[in-house]
Amino acid sequence: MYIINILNNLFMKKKVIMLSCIAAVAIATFVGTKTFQSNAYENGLLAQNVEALCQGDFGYLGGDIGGRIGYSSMHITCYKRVYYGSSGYQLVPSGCSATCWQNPNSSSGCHSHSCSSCCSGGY
Amino acid sequence: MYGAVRPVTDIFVLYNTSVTTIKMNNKILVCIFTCSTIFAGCAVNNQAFNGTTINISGDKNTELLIDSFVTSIDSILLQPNAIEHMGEVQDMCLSDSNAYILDKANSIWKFNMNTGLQEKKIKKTGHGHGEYINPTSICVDHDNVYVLDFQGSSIIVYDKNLDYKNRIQLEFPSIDFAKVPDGFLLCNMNPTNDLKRIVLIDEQGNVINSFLSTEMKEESMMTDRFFSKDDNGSVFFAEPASNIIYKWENGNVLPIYSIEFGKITNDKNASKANPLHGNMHIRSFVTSQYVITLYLSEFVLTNVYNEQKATSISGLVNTRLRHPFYPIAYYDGALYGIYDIQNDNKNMILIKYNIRPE
Repeated sequence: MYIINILNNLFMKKKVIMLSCIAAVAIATFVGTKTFQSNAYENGLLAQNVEALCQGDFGYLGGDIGGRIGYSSMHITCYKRVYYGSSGYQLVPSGCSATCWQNPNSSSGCHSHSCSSCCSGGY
Repeated sequence: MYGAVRPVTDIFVLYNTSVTTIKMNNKILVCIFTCSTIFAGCAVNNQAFNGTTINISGDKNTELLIDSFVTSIDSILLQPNAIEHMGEVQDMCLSDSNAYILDKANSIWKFNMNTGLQEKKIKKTGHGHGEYINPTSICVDHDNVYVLDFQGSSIIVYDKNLDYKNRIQLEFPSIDFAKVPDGFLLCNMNPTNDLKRIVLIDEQGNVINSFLSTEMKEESMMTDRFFSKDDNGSVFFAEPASNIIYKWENGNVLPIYSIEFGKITNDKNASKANPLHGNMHIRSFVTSQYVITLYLSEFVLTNVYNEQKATSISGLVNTRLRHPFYPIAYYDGALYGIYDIQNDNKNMILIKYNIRPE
């Protein structure tokens, strides 16, 4: 009989612990959701404000709002003047400049620099 | 009674046969699909090119006499105001007796081409009303001067005296453009299946149509200038990193010239992945008689294709000046280049190459 009582107590304790855990998880989920919604709302407002500033007659500023937009970039060959004997002054490539722009379909970062050595193709 | 029931082993055989058949069917389907894809790909690649193929064979050892396609060379000293300095030239367009020059310091200059005197200069960088962030291209029509703001995704409209009129907002980034009667043609830098490489917009910025494949073949380009106009105002587009020149005609882009470098083998390192050594199309100007193509084969070389004779001459152009042949604009029968005489951004000279009439 004593053993049965102990077992019952243990069983009850387990139930209490289980219920406490479930309650804790539920509360945490509720609080987390509320906080997330609040942050999302504020972030949305912030993004709207930034976009309002960026667009309209002020042009699109670019930037990386919320880090969700990637960039595309391209290298454009630069040229320099050289003297080539009897053929006179000629142009030869002197390197590359890089320019980047926002691309929602890209996950790359912005690569941009003025005329320097080219970065791709092993040259 | 039991005779009607199929033995278990038979069922297994039947099952295995069905599975094998299904597997075989799958293999056949995969084969058919692969073959179809290959054939379709070949069919696309072998689409007949109805335009003109321009074969380029000149290399750095071939000299191209400028007299063979230019009758005379005029030069005009551009005279900025005493305290003004012009940056490296980004783009130029011409209209009547004026040259509108966009430099890499984001200034827009208006010069009188008869006197060389500066008539106006504006530099309005910023995010405010009538300001731009990173202008990359400039063009002009009868009434207005248009400046394409790459980072600002907009076209800024000025009158001929460079007074601000309005802004046309774009839905996509573009680095070069051309004015056409319907609106503007722009090179879309974020092409998709819905909004392709070449986009036609109206004068309010609404997209009317878009053309050409969405593929960006290479990320390295010889130039960021893709559009040109001939004597009749027809617009031509050289696809980035491509050897095809398209013409804007009847509301469509038509492949009209194909550049072939088959005979140039002077450089063992020639490779499209390495533009410093490759044979690459830089840009082309279409005149009423010629297609003048600048291309890279270690040096910047020039090919002059005579449309009537269907012949080409190419090589290193010796201008007999202290400036290499590198025109940046074509207008009214002449090519134009701008050079910094003393590398001081102060003494700029506009060279006019009058094209030889046929």
